[in-house]
Amino acid sequence: MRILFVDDEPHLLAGLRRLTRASRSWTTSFAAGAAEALEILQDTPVDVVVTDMRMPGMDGLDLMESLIEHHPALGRVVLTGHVEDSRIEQAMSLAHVWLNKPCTLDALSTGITEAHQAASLRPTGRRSPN
Amino acid sequence: MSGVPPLADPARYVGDVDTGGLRPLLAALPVIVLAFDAEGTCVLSEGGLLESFGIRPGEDVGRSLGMFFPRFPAAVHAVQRALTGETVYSRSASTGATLDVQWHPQCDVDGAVVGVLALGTKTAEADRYDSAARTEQTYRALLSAIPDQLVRLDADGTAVAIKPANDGTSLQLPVRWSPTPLVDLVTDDVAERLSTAAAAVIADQSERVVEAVITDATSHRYLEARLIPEGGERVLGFVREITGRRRAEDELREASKLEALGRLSAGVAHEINTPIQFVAHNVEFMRNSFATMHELLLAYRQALHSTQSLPWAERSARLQQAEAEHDVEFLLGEVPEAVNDTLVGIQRVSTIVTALKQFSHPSSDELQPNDVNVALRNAVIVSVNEHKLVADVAEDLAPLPPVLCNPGELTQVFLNLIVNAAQAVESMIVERGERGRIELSTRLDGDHVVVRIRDDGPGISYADQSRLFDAFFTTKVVGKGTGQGLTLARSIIVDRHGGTMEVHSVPGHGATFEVRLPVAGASPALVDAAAVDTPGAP
Repeated sequence: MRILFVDDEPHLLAGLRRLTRASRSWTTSFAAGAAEALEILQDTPVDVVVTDMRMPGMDGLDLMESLIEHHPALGRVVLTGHVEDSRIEQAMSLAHVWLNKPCTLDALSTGITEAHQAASLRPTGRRSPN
Repeated sequence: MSGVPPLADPARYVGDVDTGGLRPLLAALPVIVLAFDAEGTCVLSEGGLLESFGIRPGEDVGRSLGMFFPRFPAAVHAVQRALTGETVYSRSASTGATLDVQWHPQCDVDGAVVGVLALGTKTAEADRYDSAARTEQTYRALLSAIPDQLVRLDADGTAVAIKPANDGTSLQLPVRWSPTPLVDLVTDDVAERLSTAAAAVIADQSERVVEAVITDATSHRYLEARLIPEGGERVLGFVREITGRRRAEDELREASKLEALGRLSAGVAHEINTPIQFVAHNVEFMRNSFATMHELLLAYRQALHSTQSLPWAERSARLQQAEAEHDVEFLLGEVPEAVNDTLVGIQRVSTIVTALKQFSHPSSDELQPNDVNVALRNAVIVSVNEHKLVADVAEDLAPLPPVLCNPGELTQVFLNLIVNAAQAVESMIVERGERGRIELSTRLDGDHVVVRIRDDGPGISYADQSRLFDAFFTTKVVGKGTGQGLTLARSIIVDRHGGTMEVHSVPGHGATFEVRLPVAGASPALVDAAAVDTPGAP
């Protein structure tokens, strides 16, 4: 599976890069912001995008809206440290899977798989309320 | 006894000078002059004011008190009392005009009362409620209506009680009815502050408020003395206990700090959760790396201790293959980085937790020597999530001597100013298309520390600047501000630390808040000796 991680915290991306390098099932790429993520998506095939919420410029919500419009088949995972935000309710309806920092690699891995499956089943759909 | 010379026979006296013109003179004066003999018979009735009471001069001469009564109801009683030797004041307002009359007993050379001389004058409007008869009664009523203890302070450092506090249980200065040196009433430092403030009141004749803490074995209680110039070298002190008010203020400050913490907690949680996430990734990576290294170590041991007679080249080739399989070059480069990043994450969490702890530490009354730079940095740290996306924060902090202060309260003030600055630049970020700038600086200026917090936001209109520190004044939308932040901030700086707080802003060109703190702090005995506005002062 090809995964794109988006976060404005370079240490977080570095940690993920180290940790996922040995993985045989994942191919990973990394973007420091939403704009960079959309650039990467132009010429890099990706299955699932894992994004932070609060970032300078375009934030996670903006990114997901753009993904739904231009890359509807991608799985969308939000990985955020925010416990409350005015935009969260909106963002929750756009993401396939919502994860709170800190989470284990196992939880992240499960979430990514679920998002991938959800996107494959309902390519343009949003997460059904449950 | 009155100073009016006795008139044993006023009628004859007036008669004697009548030809000399005393009667026309009296008729020209706005007075009423009456005289009565020892039996209460009217012997003189003259004066320009008689006409306005419908009485002709001389009309009542020869009449007894009973005859006199209808026109001057107060007269009967007044004459009777004056005949006992007492000077009497009366007032009658029967005909619209108000007449004040002084009834003076007249004595012969042996001191026996032989008559009464009465002088009536029209009461001036302003004087209406302040006649001699009423002054003392009013004065007593006013005094008893004031709940405070009242003392008079003299320039020589003595105090004398005027009245004790109405509420017998509240704290007051010891009540002494004769002038007593202040140092015999209160501790030396409180006495010193009171007499210094009293001297200042005498010097510029303007009011001052002194607060003092009175400490005994079990409690701190607070006293407020409002010192009012009484004229000359004397000062009136209204003394009241303000322990309840001080406690309420302390609780409000504490509650407001907790409220600030609550509002920041979501952002603070993010600042803790993110490093914990990457620390966890790195530790997991190191665990995996150690397992890989362990496998590699086993391969080396096997090569070293192998009983097979392999040529060295063969052993070396196997090890090189094992290293390549286990991605050793990557691990050698990345494990130290992972360790560093882990330490960075732990440091970040520890910094924010330390700042939070210092900030939320309950305030004590005692000011302690502390580094104002640390208080300022703590405010930057706990508010990082409020400003990191909207502004670059530049710090220009000079080395400072320890300042006698309450660091948690100062952090609260700085936090308030930094969050305000962040909201100010955030309001322009779309229009400007880039982040704003918040500049923090500290300087030592003589015996004061100066902290400036500047933003390049939209600035503050001149109209708003004048109301900025007013309670409940806010320009923020509902939910963003209650209008109490700056009021409380100023109270912390001015009342608690003896400092000042000012704003400088040219609309359109950002705003600078300047906090000045005395290095020596506010004296614990005198929390506030600032001159207060007196009514009518500009």
